[in-house]
Amino acid sequence: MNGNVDQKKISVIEDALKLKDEGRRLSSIVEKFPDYESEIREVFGTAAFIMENEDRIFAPKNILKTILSKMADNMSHAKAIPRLNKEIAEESKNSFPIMEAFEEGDASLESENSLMFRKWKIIIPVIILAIITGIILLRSGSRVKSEIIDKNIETAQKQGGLNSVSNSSANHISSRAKEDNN
Amino acid sequence: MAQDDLEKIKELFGKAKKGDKEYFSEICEVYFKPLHRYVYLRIGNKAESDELLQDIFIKAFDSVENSPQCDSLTVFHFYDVARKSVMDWKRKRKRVALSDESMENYSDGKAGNTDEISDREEFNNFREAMKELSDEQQDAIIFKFIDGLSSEDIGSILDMSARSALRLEAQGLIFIRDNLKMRYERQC
Repeated sequence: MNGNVDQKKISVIEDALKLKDEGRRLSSIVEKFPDYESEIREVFGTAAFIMENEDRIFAPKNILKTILSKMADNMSHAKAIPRLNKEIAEESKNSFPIMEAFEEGDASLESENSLMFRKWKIIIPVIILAIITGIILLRSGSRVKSEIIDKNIETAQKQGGLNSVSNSSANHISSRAKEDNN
Repeated sequence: MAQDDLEKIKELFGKAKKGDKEYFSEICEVYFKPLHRYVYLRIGNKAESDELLQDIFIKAFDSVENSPQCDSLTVFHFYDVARKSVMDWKRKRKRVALSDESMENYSDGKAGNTDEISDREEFNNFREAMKELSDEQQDAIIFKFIDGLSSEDIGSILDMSARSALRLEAQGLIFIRDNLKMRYERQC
């Protein structure tokens, strides 16, 4: 008896699937088998759930590339598709599908860490370089300053020397003038 | 597989049959995704399914090359080779009595948000339910609802009528529905 019920249920689902394949809408299928409405709805829900899993299985293009290169080694008719390399690069850049995440476990965390590490690898030398450049600039700046100061002092000293010379020569001229007058 | 893809494969096969060997790579590309999904779901281990997939393609093209005038080259030839290879793999696996690794190794991820975890759980439940189906039922379910083949196409691959393929689909769906229900009830 139970077996008959099961058989009936299976053949109704079979018919419902066939109608769905023919493009009939769920509401019209259910109308055709009113006694099995909940059954049909649940089974169709299961089918939809299975279809969702399609996207969860990620087919990495690098495997296809390996297959093609293996085939190229083994046979004469397989040729690598150049477009594939570009697609692989894009795939690794853009996609991070669920299944890949499943199998990688905490790969995302790892990749984040490695990204941070890579960032620091660049940032730290840049900072060090900036500091060294700053020190050099400061030192060369202070050297220029001290040179200027030295020059100023020198010129000041020279000027001071000239003044004293001119003063002494003036004194000398005035004393000669006095002597002449006498 | 969408109807457009099937049409494309038919066209490519037509060209390949005429001796234009450049089309083999394109054929390979068209079959790659659906066969990858099929092998992966049937085996449940990524590394091994990747390896088996390579063998499948090489075997499929080999048999084509060795057959006179590519007569065996049909749209479903690759599916046929994939099915046989999976069966062989399972037989060998049983013989060496390895533990079934299953998809559990994908669910060990420590990190992940709630959506990811629930997706993972759903996927694992689906996989576990699938494993309890017969080989033919699994094939029918994967070909129909994952690869998008019609019941007529599935009948051709499984060497049976479209009606019989439809029956396998119905049985498989009912079983998965019941199994998932049971699992969710247990989890609650």
